[in-house]
Amino acid sequence: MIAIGLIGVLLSVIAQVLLPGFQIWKKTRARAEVEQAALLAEARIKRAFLPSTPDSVTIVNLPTLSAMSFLTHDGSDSVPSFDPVSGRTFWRAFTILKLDPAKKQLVRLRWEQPPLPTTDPFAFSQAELTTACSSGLKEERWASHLESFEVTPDSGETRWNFALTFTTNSPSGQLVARREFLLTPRIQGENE
Amino acid sequence: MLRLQHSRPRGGALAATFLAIMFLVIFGLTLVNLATFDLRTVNRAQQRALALSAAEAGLEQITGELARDPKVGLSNEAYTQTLPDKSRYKVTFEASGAPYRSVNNLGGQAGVPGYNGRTVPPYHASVISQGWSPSGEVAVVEGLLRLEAIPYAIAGTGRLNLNTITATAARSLAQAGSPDLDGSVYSGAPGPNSLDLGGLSRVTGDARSVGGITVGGASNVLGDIEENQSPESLPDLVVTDFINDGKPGISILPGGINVTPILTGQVYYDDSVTFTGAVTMVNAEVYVKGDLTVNGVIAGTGTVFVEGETSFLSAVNLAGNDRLTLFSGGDINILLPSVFQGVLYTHGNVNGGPLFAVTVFGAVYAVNTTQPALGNVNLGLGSRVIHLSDFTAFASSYLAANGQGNAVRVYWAQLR
Repeated sequence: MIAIGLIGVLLSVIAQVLLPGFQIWKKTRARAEVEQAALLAEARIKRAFLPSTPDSVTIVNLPTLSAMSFLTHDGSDSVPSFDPVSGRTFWRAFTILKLDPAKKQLVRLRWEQPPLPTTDPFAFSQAELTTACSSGLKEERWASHLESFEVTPDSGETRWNFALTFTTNSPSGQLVARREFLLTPRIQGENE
Repeated sequence: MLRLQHSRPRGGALAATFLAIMFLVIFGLTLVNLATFDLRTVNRAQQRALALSAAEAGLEQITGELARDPKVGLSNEAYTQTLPDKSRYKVTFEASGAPYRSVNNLGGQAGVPGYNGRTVPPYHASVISQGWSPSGEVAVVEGLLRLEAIPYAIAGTGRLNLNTITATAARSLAQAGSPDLDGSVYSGAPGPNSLDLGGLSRVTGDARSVGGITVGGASNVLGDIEENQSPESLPDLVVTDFINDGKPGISILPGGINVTPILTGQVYYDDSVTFTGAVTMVNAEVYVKGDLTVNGVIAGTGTVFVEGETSFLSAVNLAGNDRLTLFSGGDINILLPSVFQGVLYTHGNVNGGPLFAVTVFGAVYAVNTTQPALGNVNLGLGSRVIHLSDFTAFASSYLAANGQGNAVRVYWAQLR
């Protein structure tokens, strides 16, 4: 009887102390998850976009499609990606980032058809980017909980402003995390 | 019997309480661990960002140093700095032993070995910058730079008289004309009408002038028309700095009529010279202590420094790998329709025959900072100047030698 009584008291304490704590933990967890998604997305976008060039950036901001594309060279420590004679960057592929509104995900597509690879940078037209987005390229998930993805050029089209909104549900309602950052591709364009 | 029956429940209560406490402790520790894991993840991401910023600061610093002094790194220097946020960077040009070695090949005419099997192209510098965050996270970035001292297709400190000309730019010779990039023109002359675009002229970039700009009714400037601007500092090369008669292996040739059909390496003419017949330059650096007159066929690749005037009496038709970088102390006179690949630079005037089209794949510069009457560019009907950075890079390396160029980053990668 004493044991049952002690356990009862203990469970009561657990219920009184831990359950609200658990609720707080769940809420904090949801907040951490959405913030982590935002952090991860920012880091991935930055890592992909910095080694690009302004001459290759295309943006589509439509009610049905939010996407951007830019050239990628894939250069690494062991395998650089520039011409040893002219110094020009060998561009290997287009990186396409788009919002999948149904899954609330930021997905990355890779487009590497002729004339790639090339040392002459070029950009997709908006129509070409729209076509590429629906051409069945393999999609890689880069971030979840993404509600909106907007990219707008800064003055002079050498810098781009990224605005991402992430949402998730928690016991106390919807949580929102927003990230805005300005990025400049590091490889200078011909007209800079 | 009674004692045995009472002792069992008491031990069970103790065990149950102990288990419950253990459960609570483990649960609590797990929560603490989960919470701090997120904190640690965020902290590490911040430290990585600091390391990357430090590495980029190092790259920017050395880029600026190279633009001011293209000889930076040639003495195997190393640059380190601790930033206000306690992060730091290191860029080293040390010849051997350094794990991330930068190489300055801005003045080189051939590729040289660089970090990790790379070939650093001619007229480029490979800068590799290591950054450390205060907690020891590391980032490494690589930049490939070249100096650009010739941003305009056509520029002069004097007037630009351009009648039915095209000034444009392209990424490569193969792409010349399609698609057009911004090719800009600049006049440093004050006063009205210092940049005159007459006839059917077309400028795909900006038209910029210290004075006024006249754009004829049938002419077109796709970029901005910028009048009454502050004077820009055009690169001012001192031709006599490149006198080469004391260099080892020099071929010293007499002035007059040239009788040497193939010019290789360092060549010095001790007086004014006339090229007749065919003259082929094979990576030649030619200095003429007087005037140069070309009245024949010129081909090949070379840099020519002329103290006096340079006159092309016959048509020039450079093609393929031919490239002429001409620095002339006096006027450059082109009397017949011609095609040049390279840069035409003078301290006098550039004079094209008014009815003859001159095509230049490269750039045309007339710079005279002491005599306002000079530094004019007069190009004839139908002339085209297509700014090609591949063809101006060599001249840029000369003009930027005194820190008058801008560093352009043509490659960037995060190595770590």
